[in-house]
Amino acid sequence: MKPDTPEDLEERALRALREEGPIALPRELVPLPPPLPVPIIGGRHELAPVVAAAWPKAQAFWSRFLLLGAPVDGAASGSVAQIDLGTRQVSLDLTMIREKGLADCLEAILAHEVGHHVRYPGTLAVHARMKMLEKSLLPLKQYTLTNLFTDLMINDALRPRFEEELCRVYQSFTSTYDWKADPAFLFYLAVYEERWGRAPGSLMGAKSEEQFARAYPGYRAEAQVLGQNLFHLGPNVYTQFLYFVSVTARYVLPKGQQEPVAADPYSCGCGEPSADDWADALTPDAREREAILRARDEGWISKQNADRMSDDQVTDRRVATLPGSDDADATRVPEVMAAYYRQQAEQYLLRPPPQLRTGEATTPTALEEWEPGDALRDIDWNATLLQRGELLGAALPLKRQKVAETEGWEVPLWQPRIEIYLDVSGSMPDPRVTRNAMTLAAQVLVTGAIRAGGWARATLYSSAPVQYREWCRSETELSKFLMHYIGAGTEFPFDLLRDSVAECRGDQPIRVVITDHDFDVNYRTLPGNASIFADAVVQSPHFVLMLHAADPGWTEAYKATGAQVIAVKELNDYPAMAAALSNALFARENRVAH
Amino acid sequence: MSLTERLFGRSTGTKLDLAPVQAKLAAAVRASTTPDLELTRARLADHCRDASLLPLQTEEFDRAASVLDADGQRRLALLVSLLELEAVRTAVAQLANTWPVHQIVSSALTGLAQDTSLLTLEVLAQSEQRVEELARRFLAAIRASINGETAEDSKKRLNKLDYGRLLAEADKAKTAAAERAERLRQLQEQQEQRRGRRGKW
Repeated sequence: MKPDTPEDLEERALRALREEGPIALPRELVPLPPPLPVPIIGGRHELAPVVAAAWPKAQAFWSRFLLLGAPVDGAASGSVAQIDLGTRQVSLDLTMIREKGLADCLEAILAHEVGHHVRYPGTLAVHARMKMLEKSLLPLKQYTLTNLFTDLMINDALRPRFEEELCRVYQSFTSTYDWKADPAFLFYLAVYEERWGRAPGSLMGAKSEEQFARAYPGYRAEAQVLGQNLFHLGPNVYTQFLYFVSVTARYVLPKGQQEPVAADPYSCGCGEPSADDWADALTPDAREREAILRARDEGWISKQNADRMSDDQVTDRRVATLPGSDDADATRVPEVMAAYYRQQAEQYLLRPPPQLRTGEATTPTALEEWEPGDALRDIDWNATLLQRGELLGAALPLKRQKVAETEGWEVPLWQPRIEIYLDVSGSMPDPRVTRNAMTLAAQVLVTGAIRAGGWARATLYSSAPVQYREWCRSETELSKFLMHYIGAGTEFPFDLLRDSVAECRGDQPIRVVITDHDFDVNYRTLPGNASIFADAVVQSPHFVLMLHAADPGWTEAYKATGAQVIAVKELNDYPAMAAALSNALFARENRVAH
Repeated sequence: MSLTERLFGRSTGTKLDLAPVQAKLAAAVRASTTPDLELTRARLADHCRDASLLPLQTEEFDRAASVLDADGQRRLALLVSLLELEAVRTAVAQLANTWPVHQIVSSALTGLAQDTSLLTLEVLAQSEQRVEELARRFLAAIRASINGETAEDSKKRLNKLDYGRLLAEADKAKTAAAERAERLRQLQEQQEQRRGRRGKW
């Protein structure tokens, strides 16, 4: 504990951490937290010395310069071993390893996990892209070939040194393999048998092999050809992956219509890609496109599939297969899409003109407790983490007090502020399931303002408005807010516009309305709307209307009030739109004096 | 029955180890460069002299090799390189007691290079099994049997390795999977249809 910490701090922190959420479950219904992973090396487990000896050798197989944390026990999620590529933490299930008599295979098992970190897939971003490619060809809910592919690539690299150990891992689970539930896994084992010159059934199990051969005549020839061709394919890992999936997919569906049940005892997973990883994977990169072309030319995938994997709707298709798109967790897809818009906005960033505002000249002084109700932006996270650490800091943050250098002395503050009105009515595409250029436009403006040291806030409207009323400095926070979709009628909130103008008085922000020609109807519905609009245009340093399918007559009317109107013709041609917006904001001066 | 068997009948009784032949072939595959028939002819002539055999006339060699495309010429160079092995030269010399050299060359070297068109340099570089297949075919062509294997074992192993048969079987397996592929295609269509309307844009 640091010396300047209040005496009751620890007690208060513990109280805060113990506080229950708004809905307190009865104690017996509260789910038990998963057991904490236990460090192995230096611990008391009987296999700890074996792991300690094997770990450096396993890393050295790939490189002498790896910086991985030592393995832990009890977090391998039902597999012999696992690596979480998010944290780069290797986990072992020592109980299972001991029960299966695999203690002398630990170096191979650990080297395999390190292989996921070093080569296949290497990062969760690559992992996410593989999953996206796979979903195009194999539209199954849970089942995946991604892990089998990466395991095969790693194991083949490990083969010269660890062939016997790796085979023993698979052999130790032979009795559990149910080829009827997961035929692709048995085919996968046949690839090893053929490529490594092992007897048929030596990994699959003799009985399973016999039955499998009857059910899938010729499978061994396919396994041998796959094993021969896979490792030499270029130009990149996606090519190899597409080839692997195209062949193995023929064995995925069990007889009958049900989804296969994965039988792989080595399903080490690699962890779940982050929202940013998924967002990045929503658009195929050049390497994927190259691989798709080759897969099409070689006949591994049909032309129709190849087109679907690379046409102008590919992002929408990928969005539809995101994890969470068809399950109960409604937060996952919007989170990914928010990250997607943030990434896309980077390409079109513009710097809004800073506005001259005056404010008191302040200087940061002492730290004090942040209390609920204080502005979030007052928290000094650096000081909090330095003084209180992650645990206490999260519960009891500190804020930095600022005092006036000289009472009443105001200095100029160049700070852009943008207020956005975004139409999310039924005539607009849902930004959570497709790329909505208007949401992207809003994201570009928000990001631009915040990156320039400014603030932003937004109002989404359809038949009713939803506001983010606080001035916000967080791109992430606002990008998540922009994922809201109403999808009903279009009623521009003129009342809110009037209130905003009144509230901001002598400190007006740039205002941007992003909508379509439905705005024209809203404008003329009530006689007072035109005057609210005109007043807002006069008061705002910039008032920009981005109108899709704009009516020329109304456009002239809006321009007559002094508003800048950008007519958006082609939504997918966003760079042009961004450039137009940029011109609208910057055309007359670099700095906009208030 | 293969051309070699038709020409030479069964093994001469010479027994060779497979491993060094396969290793030599693999090394030759790795070192293989642009085909150079003149160089191959010269090397073959050297090996014949080393085995106390009269080399082929230039025209005879050229006639036998004229049927080969670029990849066949590369394969011929690989096979000729196997004569660098003392044991192989001895086996060839023994075979030459009953068959003229030009016939051995046209069947075990140029003929084999022509017959194994599926075993391209690219394929040989990718797979130890394909190298083993070519090595076994060569040993069969010079009527040598393999140490540690019965004739039946060798025949079975060669049949198992037969790349042509393998590709045909893989094709059959692919055809047999048509019904499963159709089910997958239907799933893909369902997935495509689930992507509903996305607004008027």
